[in-house]
Formats: sequence, structure tokens, C-alpha cells
Amino acid sequence: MKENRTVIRLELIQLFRNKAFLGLILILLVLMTLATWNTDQYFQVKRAEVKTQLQLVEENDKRLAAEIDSLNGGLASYETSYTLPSSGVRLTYNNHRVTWLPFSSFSLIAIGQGDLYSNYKKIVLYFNSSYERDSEELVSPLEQLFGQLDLAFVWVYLLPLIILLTSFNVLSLERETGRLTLIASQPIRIWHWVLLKISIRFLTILVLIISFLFLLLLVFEVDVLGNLLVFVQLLVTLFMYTAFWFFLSFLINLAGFSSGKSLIILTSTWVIFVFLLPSVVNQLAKELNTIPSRLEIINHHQAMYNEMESSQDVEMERLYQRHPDWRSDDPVTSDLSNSTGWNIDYLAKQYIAQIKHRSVADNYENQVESRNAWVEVFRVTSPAMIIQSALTDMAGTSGRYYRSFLKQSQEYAHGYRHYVFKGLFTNHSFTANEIRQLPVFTFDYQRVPGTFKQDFLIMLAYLMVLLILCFVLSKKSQKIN
Amino acid sequence: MIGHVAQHELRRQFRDGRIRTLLIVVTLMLIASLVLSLRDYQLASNQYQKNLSQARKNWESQSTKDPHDAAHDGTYVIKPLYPLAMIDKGIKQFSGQVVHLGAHERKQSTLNEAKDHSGLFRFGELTPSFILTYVIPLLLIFLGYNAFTEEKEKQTIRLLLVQGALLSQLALGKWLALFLQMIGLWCLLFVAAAISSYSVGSEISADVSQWMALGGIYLFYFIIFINLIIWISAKASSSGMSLTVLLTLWIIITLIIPKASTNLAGWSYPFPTLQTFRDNINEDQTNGLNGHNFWNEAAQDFQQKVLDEYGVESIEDLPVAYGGLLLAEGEKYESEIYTKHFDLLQSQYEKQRSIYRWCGLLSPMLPVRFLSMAIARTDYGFLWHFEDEAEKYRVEFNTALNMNIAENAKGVNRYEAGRELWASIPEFDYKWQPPQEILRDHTLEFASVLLWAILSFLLTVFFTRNIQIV
Repeated sequence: MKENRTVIRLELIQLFRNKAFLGLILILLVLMTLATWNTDQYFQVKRAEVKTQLQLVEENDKRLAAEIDSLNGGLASYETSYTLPSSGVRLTYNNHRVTWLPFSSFSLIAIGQGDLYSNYKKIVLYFNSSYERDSEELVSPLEQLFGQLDLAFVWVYLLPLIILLTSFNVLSLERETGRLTLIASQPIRIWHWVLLKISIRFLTILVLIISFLFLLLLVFEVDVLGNLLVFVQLLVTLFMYTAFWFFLSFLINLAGFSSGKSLIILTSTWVIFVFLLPSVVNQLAKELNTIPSRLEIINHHQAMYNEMESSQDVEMERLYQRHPDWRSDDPVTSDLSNSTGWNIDYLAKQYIAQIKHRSVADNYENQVESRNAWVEVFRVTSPAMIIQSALTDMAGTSGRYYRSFLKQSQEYAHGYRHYVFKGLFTNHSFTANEIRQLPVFTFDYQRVPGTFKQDFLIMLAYLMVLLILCFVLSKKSQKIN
Repeated sequence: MIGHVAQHELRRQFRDGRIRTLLIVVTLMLIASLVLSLRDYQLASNQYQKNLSQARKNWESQSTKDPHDAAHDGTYVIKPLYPLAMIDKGIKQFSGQVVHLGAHERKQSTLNEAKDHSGLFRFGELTPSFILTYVIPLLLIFLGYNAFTEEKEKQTIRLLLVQGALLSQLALGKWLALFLQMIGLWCLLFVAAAISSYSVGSEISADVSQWMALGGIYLFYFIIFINLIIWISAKASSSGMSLTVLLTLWIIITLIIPKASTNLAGWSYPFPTLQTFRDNINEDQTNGLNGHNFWNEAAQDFQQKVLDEYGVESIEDLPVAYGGLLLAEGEKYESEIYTKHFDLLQSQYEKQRSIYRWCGLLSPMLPVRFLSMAIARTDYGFLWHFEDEAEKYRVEFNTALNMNIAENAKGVNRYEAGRELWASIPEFDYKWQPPQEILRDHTLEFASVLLWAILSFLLTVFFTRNIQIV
């Protein structure tokens, strides 16, 4: 026990006198600060975008309801249904809806797929894109190519390197400088001594990261206490990832290689886990789950539109059989010289083409989902992938979140269209109350099941394997000369 | 002497089992990435041809309708893929594949491939550019980190100096050994890629000079790394220290600075939000022509201009359908507004590019990657060029349809045209930006790479003369 305490005390003194170690830790903390600041700024812009969109919808709806009140009170008159506030045409063209993905309290830890997707989607009934699982944004593709600096990047990519650079030569340095003989003469086993030294580095780095993270979260006003479970999950994730790289380093130290060789092996392992395996998994996913080009899907939609136009009367009849409650005897609805009739005809054509196209589009999306599910399964091949996936999930910015959001938005768009078209096709006069109570979108979190338990178990398995290997090598290390 | 040193260095490295393993692994990775990229390119080329002709077929097989309705339905133009994209996919995955050309509105490219992938796709793909940018520099570091330190640790450097070797000769010899190993991999990749691209039989081909330009850029990139490796190995006190410093440098050059420069560029010159961008366009369009508004001041002015041109008093007296003329003129006006705003966006990007250029002085990867993407036609410049050309075509396409209304709809209650008109609209024929123009636009990036190569070489040659040999 006394020897242990001495080793710990000396190692701590040595560590905090080591300029290289302090320099690397400083770089890590500076990068964490920059990453958090960058992510905070990034999401502030995104939050402002969503707020603007929601305000626009609210203002438009209020204006429309007020105009309907004026119309009913005989205070205003309108010439066409384009401007008539109670008309379905006006509602369709001027009052769009917005669906939005709420921001997680811990969005600060990972921008994830947030630079690819918007956190809101405009539902404009006369735009085909409103019914597709896509959202528009104005982002430089270069930003998307190089990616954003966020905490997930610092932890997944850089933290392991810093761990490796600060621990690769714990044993080899002693041997190369001739001090190992002295250590061997002490009443302590070599593997035990290496373990102590590595553990001190592990705990020092972990405590520093966690304390600094806590500080950053406080500075950037993240409600840690209100989201204690997520915070604990984050700490466990960080602990396991850091432990994985330290175990690996311990293992290579025990193998007794030279400093250079140890660092090459460790860096190669880092390249394999952080670059190679993920890229191979992505490549295999593409090869084994081939999906037709999206261009074919677009062309199919266009072809369906042409087909529908060539037999419009039959298709219209089918539409009314599908939606008997949309059928109306009001002559206005079939008079193409009138804006209501013209728009019913136009919107019905778009809708019919979509119905004819839907099975192909859905099939495509299902294929995308199964390919992505395949990749998610094979994330187990690399701790870096597991942690990246876990962090983006905690931040609510993973592809799973955005794709689920788009799917839910698509379902909402279909439901909302059904509601408005029923009124439009029957020339119903919308009331101010109906406008105030238009269907509202709510994101359903239940549809994105958490993966923390799986991630935890997989990381635990990794750690167990490394632990067994360390145990085997520790026996061998007793014979180190 | 330099040759002898290089020969010795090569022998030393090939005797080392881990170096042989690393070389074999990287070579296999390079071959795998090349085969996969070739397959991808082949597939993409076939899909491009197939979908392009299907889009045209869809356009031509439309039923009889008002030509302006047809303009609203519009058509698609698809971004072609240049053979050099096999090496560097650049922003291809993030920039959309098609542009919808319709009436009244210029649209951005859509169908961003990256959105169809899981978030783990961001770790990257096994492509030649990934190997060239990240893996080969790392391999060079592993091959050369102990070029000098090992001689120092084993004290053999003293023997060499006693025998009359100069430190600069040693440095050049070791430099040459690394260069020869690198050039083997380099040749393998570029010669194989160039030959296989011709075997694909795509209608688009890149001449040898462009393959050489792309290869040359990466050659400079590797030379910069070799220079830094030799210099740091000469300066470092131990192999461990040398490797640590080189790895830190590699992280900074390939990972941290590219990301940091992206953030810096984004914060210094942000793009407007889509809402602001559209609001600005709408504001400019409010009082202008839009083809459907006959009553605003701009429409009244245009009407008067048309009446004066034809020397008549009223629209009814015109020999053509006024509605068609107004639609055609409105389209031109709207396109000018879009061009103005897209040009503003481009100028914002140019400002961002200046940040990347400055950051290129800290990381040679940035200018190398910008040059590589530009030559492979997978950069932002290509995207802008394609979208600008598509916009010019959109205006011609709409003008042809609207003028058809002007010429034929006079006195007709509901004018409709048929397949003859759709087929008469010429197809979009994209002309690639000439390589000279691209290189001219990237002179500063090239200068930056050259500067890095020269300065780092000077470091290697001159600063290894006075290193501590013990």
C-alpha cells in the first residue's frame, strides 16, 4: 500500500511537471471551449430560424382569423377566392404550416447531422416537396464536407490521440533510459506499476474533462440538473471511451515494445477504429444494400404525373372514390374559369400523381432506412462509431432523429392536406375558430428509441476483452527484462 | 553519397517487418479504394445517361397543355460526373445532384446524397482522396520518423560523419528514400486510375494533362510531408519525441485546421438563412414584372413599350398574344433578380475562400484539397458553374415556351400545345469549364502549395546542417 501511495504521489508530481502532458491537456481544453462556443453559436442561429418560422405562421394565422371575423362582420369584401379569407384557396396558398424538431438541452455536445438538415420544415400544400422526406437549407457544402468543430469531434477523434500520446511510453521510456532496472528492484510488480501510472493518467484526464465539461455546461446555461439522466449517460459514455483507449495503451505498454513501435501500433489502431473501420462499414453498407438512384425516383414521379394527365377524368373519379367526403355538387368546384375550380383541378392533379408515385417513393425510403439500420448494427465494430452515435443521440442531432422528424413531418403534411382539401374541394367557408384550431405538429420522441443500453453493453464488452488481454499480458510482463 | 544513403535507408526499412506490413496494407487499401471508386463512377455514369434520357422522355411525352403550365411542371438537369471525381468526390455528396428548372424561380441543386446516409457516414468513405489526404502522409511519418533519430540513438551518425558524409547529404539521401517509396504508391494510383477511367467508356473524358495536374498536386503534398518528417527527425532528441511531434503536426494539418477554418469562414462571412435569402428576393420582385400581374406599374410600363414597338393603341390590336410577351419578359426580369442574389451568395463564398486561403498557410492540406476538388470538378466552383449554366438554359427554355404562347394564343380561348413543341425545345448541353480557367482561378492555392514545398525543403536542407548529433 505504501509503495502504491509513493508511486501515485511521484507520478502526479511528475505528470504536472511534464510540459508535453500539460501542453496536450491545454490543447484539449482549449479545443473543448472552442467547440462548445461554436456549437452554441450554431444552434443559436438554428433556434432563431425556427422561432422566425413559428412566428410567421402565428402572425399569418392571426391575420387570416381577423380577416374572417371582419368578413363575417360585414366589414370587408373580397373579389376572388385567392383573397377571400374563408376560402380554402387562401388557406392553401397563404397560410403554410411549420413542423419543427425541438432542440435537446444537450445539443451543445454534437452538431451531428444538424448541418445537413434544417430543424424545421415548411408544409406548403401546393409544393410537392412538402410531402417528401427532405428539408431545404442554405449551407455551404464545404462546411458540410469538412464538418463542424464540436465536442463530439474533440472527444471521438482527438481525445484518443491525446490519451495515446500521453501514455504510449510509460514502460518503454523507463527501459530506454535505463531506469527500469531500478524500478524492477522495488517490491512492486512491473504490470502493477504500469497499471498505477496509466490509471493516474486516466483518472487525471477524465476528471479534468468532466470538471471542465461541467463548467462549460454551466457557462452555456445548460440545464444539467433538469436533465440529470442524460448527463449521467454522457459521463458514463465518456468514461468508457476514455477507459477503452487507456486499456489499449496499457496493453501495448505491457507488450514491451519500444516507444516508437508502441506509438505506431497505437496510432495505427486509432486509424483503424476512427477512420478505416467506419469507412469500410459505410462502403460495405453501400455495396450490400444497393439502392436505386434518387434520380430514378424523381423521374418516376414525373412519369406518373404525365400518365395522370393523359387520363385525368378517370383519375379524378378514382380520387373521389378514395375520398368520398371531398366530392361536392357545388358548380364552383368544377368551374375551371373560377379560381376555386382551377385550384381544385391543379391540386388534385398533384395529389393524384403523388398517390401513384407513393409506393415507389416509400419503397425507396424504406431501403434507405434498412441500409442505415445495417450501418447502425455494424457500428459495434468500432468504439468511435458507437460513441459518435451515442453523443449525437444525446444531442438529438443524429440522423435517426432528423429522419424520424422528416417522416413525422411527412405524415403530418398528409393529415393536414386531408383536412384542408376536404374543405377546399367542397367549397367550405373556413371559420376563424377553425383557423385558430388548425392541426399542430408535435415531435414524437417515442419513435426514436434510445440506444444507450446497447451502447453501454457493447463498450463493456470491449473493455472486458481488453481486460482479459491485459491480464494475460500482465503475466508475461513479469518476465520483462 | 546521397544515393548510397537512400539505398541504405530503403534496405533498412524493408528489413523491418512492420514497415513491410504497413506498405502492404496501404497498397491494398489504395487498390480497394480505386476499385470501389471505379465501380461508383461506372454506376454513376450509367445512371446519369439513363436518367438524363428518361427526364427528356418525360418532358417530351407530356400531354397537350398550356405551354406555361408545362413550364411550371418543368424539367430536370442532372449534374454530370467528371472522370477525375473517381479520385476526389469533393462536395459531390453534399451538393445535390439535380436542378429543377421551372417557371419564375431559380432553384438550388437538390437530392443531397449525404442525407440518405446514417450519421456515421460522416466518418468518411474508403476513397482514393481519403487515402491520399490522410493515410499516405501518416504512412510517410511511420516510415521516416526515425530517419535521423535512430542514427543518433545508435550513434551510427558519428561513424557516417567521420567517413566524410555531410549532414545535408544524409538529409537528402533519407529524403530520396522516402520519396522513392511514396512515388511507387503515387504511380500505382494515378496510372491505374487514368487507365481504368478510359476503360469505362464514358462519354466524358479527361485528358492526360488533367490527370497529371491532379497527380502533381498530391505529389507536392507528399513532398511537403517528407520535408517536414526529415527536418523534425533531424531535430528531435529521440524517436519517440519525433513521432509524437509529427503525429501532432499531422493532426493539426489534416484534422484541426480544416475544421477550424471552416468554422472561421462560416462565422466571418455567414450565408444568409434560407428565409432571409427568399425574403430578399421577394422584396426585389414585389414591384417588378412577374408574368402574371398585368396591373402593377412595371407591367403597365412594359405594356406601353410593347404597344409603342408595334405601333398600336391597345393590346387587342397586337398581332401577338400579349400574355405570352409579358410572361417571357417577366421570366427575364425574375431571372435577373435571382442572378443578383445568387451572385451575392457567390461573393460571400469568395470571401469565405479568402479565409481558407489564409488558413492554407497553416495547413497545406487546404490548398491541396481545393486544387484537387477543382481539377476533379467536384468543388463549389463547379457547382456554381453548373447552376449558372442551368439558369441560362432555364431562361431560354421558358422564353421558348412563353414566346410560343405569344405567337399562337392570339384570339384563342384556351391555347394548348402538344408534343411537337416539347420536342422542339433544345436539350441542355453543359459545357465544362476549361481547365485553364480553373487553374487561373486557383493560382493562389497553387502558390500556397509551392510556398509550403519550397520553404519546407529549405528547412530540410539548411537546418539539418547544424543539428545536434548526440
